[in-house]
Amino acid sequence: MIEIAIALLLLLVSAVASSVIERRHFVRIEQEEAQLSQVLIFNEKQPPPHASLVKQSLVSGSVVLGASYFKTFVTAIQGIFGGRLGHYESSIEGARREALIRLRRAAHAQGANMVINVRLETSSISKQGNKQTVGAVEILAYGTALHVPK
Amino acid sequence: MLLTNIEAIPGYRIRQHFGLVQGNSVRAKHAGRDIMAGFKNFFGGELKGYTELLNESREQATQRMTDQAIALGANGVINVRFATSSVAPGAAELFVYGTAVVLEADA
Repeated sequence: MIEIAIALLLLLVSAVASSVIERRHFVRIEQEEAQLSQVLIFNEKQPPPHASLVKQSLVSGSVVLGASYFKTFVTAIQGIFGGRLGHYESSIEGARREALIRLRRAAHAQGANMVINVRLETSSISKQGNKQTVGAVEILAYGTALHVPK
Repeated sequence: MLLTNIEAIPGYRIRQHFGLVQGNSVRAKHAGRDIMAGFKNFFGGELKGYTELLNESREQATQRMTDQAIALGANGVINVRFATSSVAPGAAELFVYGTAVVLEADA
């Protein structure tokens, strides 16, 4: 009985903490995206005329995202019924935007105002076949930073 | 050494192609970091230790690719691509490849 109570309490703490962390993260993402609005990102290859490379043109940004205890639990239950996993969608979206922010910050630090040919990679880096370990995905964004005179 | 993931570089001409160069790095998770990540995973969110670990290994892979290109006499690597795969439980391979070229500034 006491074990069930502890498990439920842990789930509740995890659920509250992860939603608070996620909400704060989204607020911060919005602010940083606004600050970096002068760095434009494209996924097309063709550089615009008069563009020049910066010193280290290959820039990247990455985030490793872990799923919380609560989300792992909910996923296990939803796995029975199938369907959308909305809570994963939002956390991965947050991580992807964070990776793009880091990419733009790296470009901005070198005086670039544009990143072209941006690629997004997602890979799972969790241990396979052992449910007891950390489940995580890595999001990597990379591209070529350019300086384009206004 | 110029690294880019585009094919045509503004202001430069490609004088010579050397073909594919590559670099990789396989990293296992650090026990200490794994424990910390386990704690962090309770709440969810970013696992900073892993982000740093993977960035370090990606830099190493890029360095290996660059070394290979320099050994060939190239001064740039174009069309660079990154890939990640999990090769063994608890280990990730970071792989980077591109085309080594000799670039010449446009007159």
